[in-house]
Amino acid sequence: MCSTPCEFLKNGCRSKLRVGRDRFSRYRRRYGIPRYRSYSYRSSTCDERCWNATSPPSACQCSCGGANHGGRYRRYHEQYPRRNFAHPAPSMTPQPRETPVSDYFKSVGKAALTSAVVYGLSAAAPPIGAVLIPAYTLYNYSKLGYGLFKVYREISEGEKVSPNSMSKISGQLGEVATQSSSDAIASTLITKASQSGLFKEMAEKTGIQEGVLAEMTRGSTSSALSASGGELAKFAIMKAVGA
Amino acid sequence: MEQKQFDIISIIASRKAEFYINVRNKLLETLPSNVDKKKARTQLRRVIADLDNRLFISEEEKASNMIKPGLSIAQLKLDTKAILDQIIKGMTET
Repeated sequence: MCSTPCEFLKNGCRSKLRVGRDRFSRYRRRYGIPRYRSYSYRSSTCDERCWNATSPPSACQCSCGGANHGGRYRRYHEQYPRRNFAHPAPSMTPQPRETPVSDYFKSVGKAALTSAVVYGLSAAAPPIGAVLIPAYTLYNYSKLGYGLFKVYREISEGEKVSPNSMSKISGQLGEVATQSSSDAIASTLITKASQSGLFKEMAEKTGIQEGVLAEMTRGSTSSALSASGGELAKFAIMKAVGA
Repeated sequence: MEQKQFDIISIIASRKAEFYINVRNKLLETLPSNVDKKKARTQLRRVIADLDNRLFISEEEKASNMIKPGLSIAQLKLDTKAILDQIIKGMTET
């Protein structure tokens, strides 16, 4: 005897279950359990031809299945929102607020930054997109150096450019007063070098973005002009293979 | 400034570029969606560009007064702590 759904399954009584929308109707009827289904109807007024409807009275679903005999009947599950592609409903999950970059690296991002820097300094086999061979061995660095020197000479033509006279030059070049003088000279130098196509040519040969090269050269020039300018003069350059 | 100094500047700039690309690729993988990647990238680029040139000259090069252009960043064995401190300082500034 299969009196519960579990017993139905255990005792191999599955064939006795009615296959359809309500498989447990016999069980429900026996124990008086109401059917768990929600209905919603547009109209509560039945067509006069549907007095013998088989559905609940307000649904007007006729047994004959003719037109207008139950067409105004629909069912939906209220627990699921209806899909509207034209005006999608706002997401229920709150969107995370954008964190400022400095705040992120002050807290949880510090470890990631440390890891990336350590990796960047010791990457023996860089991933795809990273620089595998030093850029300056692929490209004749002296060409870039000469190009920068030429631009520098053009800027300083008729005016001596040195760390001591930078303020005067930067004023002449129209740089903003808040920018340091070495930065101003470096920015002017890089702007003129970019206009001459120096970085574009190097970017094509090395695969490094033009903007990255220009920014790094600006920073290095600024640093050389301000702090370590005198120190660089004492270094010689070893002839590079392939340079 | 002489041309030789600009040659050295171009070598250091290339080293910075190599270092920046390696760090950027690694860092962007770990950034969460609520952090503006473009801003982080721009800030990182500026911070690395403004690092002191001396940080990108190895101790060996300083001792011999000879810049070796053929060495990669990994081969240079640079001062990790000094570079890291400067980068963290630059990245956490508002």
